[in-house]
Amino acid sequence: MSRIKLNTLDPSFKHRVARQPGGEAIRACFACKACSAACPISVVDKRYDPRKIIRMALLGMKKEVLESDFIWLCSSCYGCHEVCPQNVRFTEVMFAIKNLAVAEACVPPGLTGQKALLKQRGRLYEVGEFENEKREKLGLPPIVEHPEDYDRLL
Amino acid sequence: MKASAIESIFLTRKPRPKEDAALRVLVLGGDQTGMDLASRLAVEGFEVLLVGGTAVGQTSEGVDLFPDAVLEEIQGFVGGFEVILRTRRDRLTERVGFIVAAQPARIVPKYEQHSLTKSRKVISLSDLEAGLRTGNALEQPLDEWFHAAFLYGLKTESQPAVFARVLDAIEKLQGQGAIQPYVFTRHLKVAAAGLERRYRECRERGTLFFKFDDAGPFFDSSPNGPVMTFTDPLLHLEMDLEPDVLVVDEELLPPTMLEPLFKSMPSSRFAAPFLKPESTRFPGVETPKAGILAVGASRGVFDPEIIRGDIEAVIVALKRPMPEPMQESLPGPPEVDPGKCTMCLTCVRLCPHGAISFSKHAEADGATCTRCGICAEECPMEAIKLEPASQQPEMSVRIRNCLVHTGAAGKIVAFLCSRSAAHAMESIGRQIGENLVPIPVPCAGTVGLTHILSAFESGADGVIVAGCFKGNCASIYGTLLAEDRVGQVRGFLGEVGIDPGRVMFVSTASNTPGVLVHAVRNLELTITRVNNVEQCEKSQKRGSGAIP
Amino acid sequence: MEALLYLGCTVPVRNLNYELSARLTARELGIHFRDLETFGCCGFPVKSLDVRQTTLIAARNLALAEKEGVEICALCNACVGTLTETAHALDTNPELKAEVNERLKEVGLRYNGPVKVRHYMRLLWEEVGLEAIKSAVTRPLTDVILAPHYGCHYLKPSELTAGFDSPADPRTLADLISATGAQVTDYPSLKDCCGGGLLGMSEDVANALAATKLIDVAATGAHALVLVCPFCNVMYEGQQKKIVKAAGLDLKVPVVYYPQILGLALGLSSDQLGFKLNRVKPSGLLKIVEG
Repeated sequence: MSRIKLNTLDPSFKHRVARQPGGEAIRACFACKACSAACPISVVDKRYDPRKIIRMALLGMKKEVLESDFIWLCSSCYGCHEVCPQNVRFTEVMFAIKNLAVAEACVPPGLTGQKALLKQRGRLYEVGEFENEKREKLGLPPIVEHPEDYDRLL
Repeated sequence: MKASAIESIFLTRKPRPKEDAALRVLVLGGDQTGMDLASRLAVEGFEVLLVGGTAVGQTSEGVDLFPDAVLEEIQGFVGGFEVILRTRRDRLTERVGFIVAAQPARIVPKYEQHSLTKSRKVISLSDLEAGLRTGNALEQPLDEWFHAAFLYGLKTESQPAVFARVLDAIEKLQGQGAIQPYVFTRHLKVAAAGLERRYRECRERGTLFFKFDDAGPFFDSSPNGPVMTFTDPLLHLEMDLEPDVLVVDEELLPPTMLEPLFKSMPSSRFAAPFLKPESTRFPGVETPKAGILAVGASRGVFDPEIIRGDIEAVIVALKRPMPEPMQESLPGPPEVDPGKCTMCLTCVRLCPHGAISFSKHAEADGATCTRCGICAEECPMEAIKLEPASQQPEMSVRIRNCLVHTGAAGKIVAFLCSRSAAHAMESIGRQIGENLVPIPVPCAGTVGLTHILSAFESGADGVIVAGCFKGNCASIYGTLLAEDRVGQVRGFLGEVGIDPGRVMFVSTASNTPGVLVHAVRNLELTITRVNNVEQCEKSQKRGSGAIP
Repeated sequence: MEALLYLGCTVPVRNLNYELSARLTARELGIHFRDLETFGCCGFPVKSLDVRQTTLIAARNLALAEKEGVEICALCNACVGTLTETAHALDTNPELKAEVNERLKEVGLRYNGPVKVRHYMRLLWEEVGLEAIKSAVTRPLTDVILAPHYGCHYLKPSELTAGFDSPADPRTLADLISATGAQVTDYPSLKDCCGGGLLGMSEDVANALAATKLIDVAATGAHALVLVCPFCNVMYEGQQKKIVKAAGLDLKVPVVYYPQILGLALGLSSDQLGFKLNRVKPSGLLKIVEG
């Protein structure tokens, strides 16, 4: 990778993340690496390193962060969140960063369908006649889909 | 003898006023600290001579300003120092009761270590502070953000007080618009009140910190200004930055005008470049010499909060009277026999407290002398007696008396420093057993060859000299001298038929009696072994063949 | 005691054995579950898209429960996590609450709070208690060895779960299992994340996370892995074959839900408890219990 020119990065990016709900404490990080040590994903995929993601965001590498595929690898296990000595609340910071990526139209295919499903059904999995029959056989009450509020609110 | 120590007597006594000098104070200043101290003293009723600084500024009644004067020499002792000040035109002699060194730190920007030179965009922290004070607008940045790079503790460590200044400067800067501050460091020092919190707040407001393990940034310059190249320590990516201002950090050093004070206090060579050593024996603003106090930079303190505390400490110290009962229980200072004194000045040069003057013969000042007795032991003419003859018998007589009284055989004579070992002894007396003959001395530094030989002459089996730990001696190097002398004695004891193993030096403290117990037990074992060996040799010589 | 049973999206469609056994055991232990038809998704799936929308959806569910005046009991870790954190945020941030209520107005709802949300395990632990469970056991599962899996949102973040269990040294599920008379095994990856949150994003990474647990549990010789969350089930049961094959291993880890084994200990039959729906059959376990 060629040399990165700090002058061309975006100092306002970290402040943007901090304005997102959940991202408030990203700037408190002092890079102790407790998060990376606790992260189960970083064991499996080295590209996902919480400390590095925070660093890139703080330095202003907006493009590299929002357009990357590795930011979507957080499993929201809260391991990092639990150990952070500065209460950065990194799991929530990751959601904030992902939200920003979505705002810049960088959404992975796995997620785009979810919102539509909720608006349509109010739930992820369809519960139609077939499903309710199964439930009835087991003595379980039927489920009725109520999408109206979801359609309105989302 | 009561093993109660001679308490810190420097500033717990206000000597009887000789003329008005006791209420006059010389303050060596140069910045606001000196002014504040002078004003405070004046308010408290002292007459102040303030040397250094500027004539412009608040002056109080009771403060005489000598802005361009330099302290050339000091003579005398607390309550009646004679100080010689040199101005551009004059040489003034003044009498003062106390001297306070309160000069500002010498500030040295660290351009050299980074091979940087001052330029339009490369300035020192002090330059930036001055610019911020005068409200000079920052130069227009290259892009919409103003990039401000600070160097702190990169090649060499920097002080927490300097980090506090960096944080202050960043805070002020950020009030001026879209500023992106960077701090490049290898050692971040937050060991001062409130610094950890301020460091966090600084990060929360957006400052980026680069903490390097390797050599750090490489500096170059372009037509636009400085260029920094480095590898980000966390991402391991190569980066460069063209800051709109590069602020070089500084070192805070003690002030230079301390020479005359150093000269009046022989122990200062252990403390230089500071006026006083780091030691719990000299808390706060006290120095080893009565009447001389050190504030702020002169004692290695650069934190403004602590310096404010120092000012108050000076007031407290100067106003503290000596309790009456104590005055009576103190022995007088050592007496010098004018007939024996050859004015060799050994004692003058060696007294850690600078308590000895010489006119016709050496003389110890009652208010400055701590009765440690180092001079008595060092005098080549044995002209100095520790206690006035009228009060206590001579040391050798005392030793003899002790041993005769308790029976010399199998005894260990223990010379116990009254500032440490004597106290420790109090808590373990019985443990060590009846074989120990304790002899408290004011300082281990007063124990020498004569003492040790007296003990053996009187029939003791062994000698232990117990002083304070190095760095904790109330007379700075009394304990070092004692240890040195014990070493010398052991060196030639063999020649006079005494096994060197019978003499031992140990360092201890009032609250580490275990160290003393351990040392005495070791000595006892050695003595037993040596006694056995000597017995064997004796029997062999007699040819009895029997092994006792 | 009474609680609104919050089923979420996955349980009522894909994990009927969990729902069934939960309802049956609750009834046995004196917990009355009420259903609320209008409950929907808790909002967790869209959190990565827009945190505010998740808050809104979760708040809607909370407001619905508030109207009924009954606390919520959920079966899925993620549902519990999302609903709890939303309730906490609304209860502690008046500005957020006002913003959310402005929008909830559009659907005729309002959140005043506080609304209590608990996992079924927490309800058992706090309302029923280990002693009561032990007394209710008629068929102790002696000789059965079980491996607990807590899942992430059950234990963390501790600022929300504090007072219930410890993320560093969890024990509630192990104790609940012991109360049935079964033995509990410990194993190195006890606190691992199942990876379920990633399945949609990267199946490889998710499977890699789940693999370690399966290997460890197989090594303990436990009769089954005990779960309390449908997400975790997707990984450990649903993806088990794929994972095992990809790792080139030959192992089988039966997966059960806690209420299922609790039900067995309370005297219910495996048929009643939906064991037929368990895809990796815990035959060893059932043999010991039912012969």
